[in-house]
Formats: sequence, structure tokens, C-alpha cells
Amino acid sequence: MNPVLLRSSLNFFGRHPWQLFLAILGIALGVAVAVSIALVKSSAEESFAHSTQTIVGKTTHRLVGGPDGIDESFYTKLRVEYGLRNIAPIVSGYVKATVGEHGETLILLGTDPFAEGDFREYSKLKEEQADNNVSVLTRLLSEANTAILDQKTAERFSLLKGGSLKVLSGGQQKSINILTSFDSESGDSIYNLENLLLSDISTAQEILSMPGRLSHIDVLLEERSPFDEHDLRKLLPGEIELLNAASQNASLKQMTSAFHTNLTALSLLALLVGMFLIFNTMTFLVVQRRTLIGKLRALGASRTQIFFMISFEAFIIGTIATLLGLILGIQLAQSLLMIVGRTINELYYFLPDTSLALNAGILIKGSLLGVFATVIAAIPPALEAAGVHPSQAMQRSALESNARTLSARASLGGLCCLIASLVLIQLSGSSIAQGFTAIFIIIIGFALLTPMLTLLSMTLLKPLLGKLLGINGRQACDSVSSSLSRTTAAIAALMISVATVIGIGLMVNNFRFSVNHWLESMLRADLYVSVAGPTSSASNNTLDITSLQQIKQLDSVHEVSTVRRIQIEATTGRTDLLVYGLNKRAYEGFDFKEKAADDIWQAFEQL
Amino acid sequence: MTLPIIEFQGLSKTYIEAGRSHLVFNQVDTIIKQGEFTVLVGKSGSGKSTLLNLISGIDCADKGVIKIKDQSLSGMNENQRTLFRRKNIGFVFQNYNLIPTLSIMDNLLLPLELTGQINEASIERAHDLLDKLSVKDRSNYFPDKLSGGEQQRIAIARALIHEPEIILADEPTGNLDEETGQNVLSLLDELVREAGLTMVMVTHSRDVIGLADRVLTIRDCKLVELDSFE
Ligand SMILES: Nc1ncnc2c1ncn2[C@@H]1O[C@H](COP(=O)(O)OP(=O)(O)O)[C@@H](O)[C@H]1O
Ligand SMILES: [Mg+2]
Repeated sequence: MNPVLLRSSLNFFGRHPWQLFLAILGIALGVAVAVSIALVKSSAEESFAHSTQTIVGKTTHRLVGGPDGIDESFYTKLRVEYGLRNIAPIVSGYVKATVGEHGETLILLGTDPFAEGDFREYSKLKEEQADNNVSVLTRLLSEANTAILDQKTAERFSLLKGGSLKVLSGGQQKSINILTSFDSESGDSIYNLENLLLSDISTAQEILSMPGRLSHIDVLLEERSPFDEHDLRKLLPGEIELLNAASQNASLKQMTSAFHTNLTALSLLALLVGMFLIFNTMTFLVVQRRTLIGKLRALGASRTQIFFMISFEAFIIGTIATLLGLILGIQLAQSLLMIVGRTINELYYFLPDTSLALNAGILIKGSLLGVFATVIAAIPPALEAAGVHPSQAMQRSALESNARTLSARASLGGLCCLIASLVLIQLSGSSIAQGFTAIFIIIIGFALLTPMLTLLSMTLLKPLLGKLLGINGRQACDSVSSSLSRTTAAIAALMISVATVIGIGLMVNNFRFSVNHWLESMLRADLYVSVAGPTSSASNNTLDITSLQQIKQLDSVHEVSTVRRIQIEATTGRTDLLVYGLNKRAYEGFDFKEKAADDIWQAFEQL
Repeated sequence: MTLPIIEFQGLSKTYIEAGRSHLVFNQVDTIIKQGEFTVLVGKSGSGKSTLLNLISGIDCADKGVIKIKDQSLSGMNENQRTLFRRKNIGFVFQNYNLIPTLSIMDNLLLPLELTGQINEASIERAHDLLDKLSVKDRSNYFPDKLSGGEQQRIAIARALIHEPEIILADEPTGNLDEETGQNVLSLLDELVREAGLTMVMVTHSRDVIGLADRVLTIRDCKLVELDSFE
């Protein structure tokens, strides 16, 4: 770029540091929002996949039983009688753990360390020495109610050096002795998972009140295994199913797909807002300097020189802002991920690892978005500035008379956009990408309508303001309409920002409203008593039947409904089975898709 | 023998504004010779600035031919006219048109900087001009720190820096008080004559009209010669 034009740009921003700051901030925010949401999305997905993978390990198949699991004698039978070596018993479930005031839901994973070798990565467990030179492994196996915790969770519980942890499962509180905590260096190590309480089989059975039962049996079927899938299936008693890992993953994915859809929608919205911010920032920077550019043109600066001056500015601002935006975006993603992680954790499944994965692809895409969008956004105003006639640029009225004819054309374009978007919405069905394209077109449409709407509202406002404020009021209206080229860019930017805020607000509210509605119709009772675990997960645990009797006998309790929720795993996927003992008032909480409710309830009572 | 440097042949110019067309020049033929100092007078809105813009190639004629140094501007595209203007014409505007975001030195050297022709000699020439116009100590200031008279003197130096053959001045003293204006004008006249340049100036200053070789005015969309006494 020409050095004297470069100096002119530098001095312009030197004299208007706030403008430069706002430009950089605008672009940086755009990049940050887009990048952070994308990062959160990919981190959540990756961590989800990774933790699933770590828990599953090399498992190729899984043997599952009914809701009560599998009798452990079947495991012994498989190993001893059928000589199946690559199998590992698992007892797992959710427990509510507390130390003092601090409480969290943890996943308790009971394994047989000797069988585990082939499945999951336990690198350090064997070498680690406890206090008195007895290996942790030995203590874990030989002492009752012992477990280990991952380091991050241990830190939260202040149990880094071990100690006693109270766990609540199936309404019964027990005490567990934490031997030590493990840090996770190897990425694949099972200790890399958070909220994980690791014990041997018998401790897990004791805590989860599943004496003699296993949650499932992990199976590794290889070429050299004595059985293939088909043979193994023939050995299984009726209530035991053999599932392969692929179908398990698919059902996990299905479970979290709604969440991922939400994140995708959010990231597209963020991208949209980001692009619009950038475009407005650049337009404003150019429009503001039209007189200056006109002078340069009159003094012999060529169109190409002006064009390169603006583009170069955009490139530099875009680059700085993008760097800032990336840093900001990573920060933002870090805090967002905590929230998202907690939500996934509570609603869907265990999300043990909420560390941010700095996906290089996203960072590169974010950089390209920042730099390219800025440069591309600067092209129309740069072209316009370069194309300005030197004599015209020195008198803004020329531009404004231009702006008025342009505003008529823009409105026409805006109307076309609105119609096109309406058509697209009709056609889009449930496609998110098409829905967002439509929204994007709507935004552009309204932005294009802004100049006309501004003129119109000023014409309408002028008599009113004139009456209220006299000459000042009329002049204010006139100056807004007479400098359309500046005012409409600002008005459009403001309009879109406000619309975005309202839109997001509505979205959240709408979501809240439907949740609220759902809660009100579903949840009829005043109090709920449940076992520990994530809201949507079925549990093998049941409440103690004696405590149910006690609750019923309380004077203040009018009616009780009971529900048992179990998950049935089958080759076709997961099914939730809910078993109800309902009182009449609870009937109102059900909406049936087909048939009259009365008929259904009659049939239900006759079951 | 003096050669023609600016030639109009059958020049017409019409503006269209708000749907109405407005004729400014109709079939104008004129020759301005090298080294001549021409003053252009006339009432506001008669087309004086338009004429200067046509000579500098900022504006385009609708009909007819404008020849500068035997080159026809009509045959050039926008970019060629910009380059031509940059090389051959120095412009002094009523509102100075200094670039607020450039230092006085940069403003002065702008015509050279834009073409990348800056060298030791031109910088020396810049200092020389600033010295002659007695604004030497202002070279690192920005325009907004200077008085109107000082700004116009910088603009004059800028019009001369790239040694153009033609100087166009559009009411250069219109924004200055009388004494400062006289001062600036005599400096301009002196510098232009010294270098033997051709100058076309729009002004109403009687003293300047006295200095001019020719006085032209615009009447009924034509250029008309005035006697200096008129
Ligand atoms: N860019 C333009 N567009 C439309 N009309 C113009 C333009 N520039 C000048 N005019 C019109 O041409 C006429 C001559 O203007 P100008 O040359 O500026 O007059 P002056 O003699 O005061 O310098 C005026 O009526 C003016 O309104
Ligand atoms: Mg004029």
C-alpha cells in the first residue's frame, strides 16, 4: 500500500481511537461468539465420545441382563466352563457422594482389575504404593469398602490423600474409604474421567445393594477367541442379550442428539450475528470518511489506491480483531463449557471431562471468518468509496440524493428478501441449515428496508417533534433523513442487535415455557422422593420399600404415586419401561396421542 | 511564440439533478496559451467551478473536445484522467482541501507520494517552498492547528510541488480575510510567474483582476472575454 495513504489511515485511527476500539471490539465479539459456541459444541461432542470410548475401552460386545443385571455365577461359568478369557464383569451405578457440606453425583464403577487388563487402560494402578508399601491394588481388593477417585473430583472433595466418603444409594447411606486419587497423564486412562469412583466388584455390589449381581459383562471378541458372536449367542440363557458396541454407541448418540441440535442452532446464530457485526463495523468506518476520500481522489489518488487503502485497513483490523476474538472466544468457551457440561451431566449422561478441546479446525475457521469476513465486508463500501466522483465526494448532498434513490431500490430488494425467506421457511421443514438461511435472508431484508423506514418514520415524526420541541425537533428529523448514508448503517446495526437479543430471549423463554408447561402437567405431586442419579437415567436402584410405608403413614401425606423406571437394552436399542402405581390425581398428568383417556385408564386399571 | 495549452472545441455540459436537466455550457470554444494568467469571474452558480473541474478531468464534458497539452481528455478513461491530473495539474481549492489525517509535510508531498516519485530533491524543494511561503516551522503540524491563511499557503505549495504546467485555483481567498487573501494571492502570482506556469483562477478580488493577462466570464452558457476595465 502507498505509504502516505497508510500514514493517513494510521493518523485517522490515532485521532479516533474509540472508533478503532469499537471496530476491533465489534469484529472480535463476532469472532468470539462464533468460535466459542463452535468450540463448546466440538468439545462437548469430543469429550462425550472420548469418555464413552474410555469407559467402553476395547469392548466389542456387551452382555446385558434384565433390570436386575446378571447373576455373577454366569460370569464364572463363561470363564471356567466355556473358557472365554476376554471378558470383564462390571458393576456400575450412580451414587450421591458427600463429604461435609459438599455433595455430587458420582458414577461408581466396580471392576475386576485382573480381568480388566484387556479392556481399559489402568496404567498406574499396579505400581502405585499406598502408605505402608502395600500396593493400592492389593488394598482395593483385600479391604472392604475401598475405592479410588480421580484427582479432579478428589480435589473438590478434599480427598486428595484419601479419606472417608459418604455415599447414598437406594436410600441407604454407606461409608466408603478412598485410598488415593489418581492424576491422569495418559489420555486414554480411565482416570481421565471425572466424577468417577472406582472400586472392585464386591464393594460396588455392596454399595449399590446388588449382592451377587453384575450390571453387565464386557466382551472382547477377536479372531482367536474360542467363540464368534453367533456361537456365544447360543450359549446365553433367555434373559441375557449380547449387544455389539456399535449399536450401543448409536443409542447413546440418539440420546444426546437433541442437545447437539440445539448447539448447532446456537452456533449458526452466533455466526450470523458475528458476520453482521463485522459488516456494519466496516461500512461505518468507510461511510464516515467519504469527504476525506473525496479529497484524496481530487488530489490524484486513483481508485485502485483508495480501494487498496480500505482493504488493507480491513485486513489489519480484521487480523488484530480476530486474534483478540480467538482469545476472547476461548475464554468464553471455557465458561460456557462448564454450563453445557453440567447440563449434559444432569440431563443426559455422564460427561466426565469438561476440559476445552482446542479444535484447530475451528480456530482456523474462526480466523478465516474474522479476516475474510472483515475484508469482504469492506469490499462494497471500499468499491463505493473508490467509485465516488471526486467532486461529488466533497459535497455530501450528492451522496445523499444518491442515497434516496438507492433507498427505494433497497426497499424493493428488502421486500424480495422477506418474500424469499417466507417461501424458504415454508419449504425448509425441519432442516436447521435452511431455517437459518431463511433467518439470514430476513435479517438482510429488514436491513435493506431500514433507509425507507427511516425516511418514513422521520416524515411522520417531524410534525409531532416540531410541536413538542419546535425548530429543534424538526431539525433533528431533517438531519436524520438528510444523512441517510450514515444514519441507516447505524440504525440497521442497532436494529439487528436488538432483534438478536429479543430473539434469544424469546427462544429461552419459549423453552422455559414449554418446560414449565410440561412440569405442571407432568408433575402433580408436591414432593418427590427419588434415588440418586441423573434425572433422565433409569436406575437399577430402588427405594427401600419400608421407607415408602413410612411415608404413607405420615399424617400430612394424602396420596402417594410410585414409579419404577428401568431401561431395557436390546439389539434394537434402549427402551425405557415405566411401571406406575398411580393415584387418580396423577392421571391428569398424562396426555395420550390416540384414543380417549377414560378408555385407556379403564384398561390400565384392569391390568 | 506561445503555444496553446488548454483548448475547448464545441464543449457542452449539462447536469441532471432531481430529474431536471440544467445546461451549464453550450458549445464553448476557447484557447488558453502557455504561461497565461486567466481570471474567471461570474455570479455564483454560473459554472466557474464546473469549468475548472472539466479542465482537471474531475468532471467530463457531454459533448465536444477538451485538449490539454494536445492530449484529448475525452478519449481517456477515469483512471487515465486521474493519472493525467496527478501529473499535469495543481489545484488550489476554496476550502484548502488539506487532508486532516496527514501532517503538513505529508500534505505537501502528497502528489509526489501518490506517484511514488519522492526523492531527496523533492524534499528539498518542499522545504524551499515552505520557506518561501513562510510556513517552514509548521511542517510537522497537522492542518487543524494552522490558521486559514497558513492552510491556504500549504495548499498552494502542494499545488506546485510536483511541478505541474497548469495551476487551477477556485476562489482561493474566498475563506480568508482581505489582508491575508491579498498576501496569499500575490505569493501565488509570484510563484506561478517565476516558474512560467499557466494559471486559471476563479476570484472576485479586484487586485488580482488587475494582475491577470485575460479575464473571462460565463454568460448564457458561453465563455466571454472581458476587458480588464469592464
Ligand atoms: N455534481 C453536480 N450535479 C448536479 N448539478 C451540479 C453539480 N455541480 C454543479 N452543478 C450545478 O451546475 C451549476 C454550476 O455550478 P458551479 O460550477 O459550482 O458554479 P460556480 O460558478 O458557483 O462555481 C450550478 O447550478 C450547480 O447547481
Ligand atoms: Mg464554485
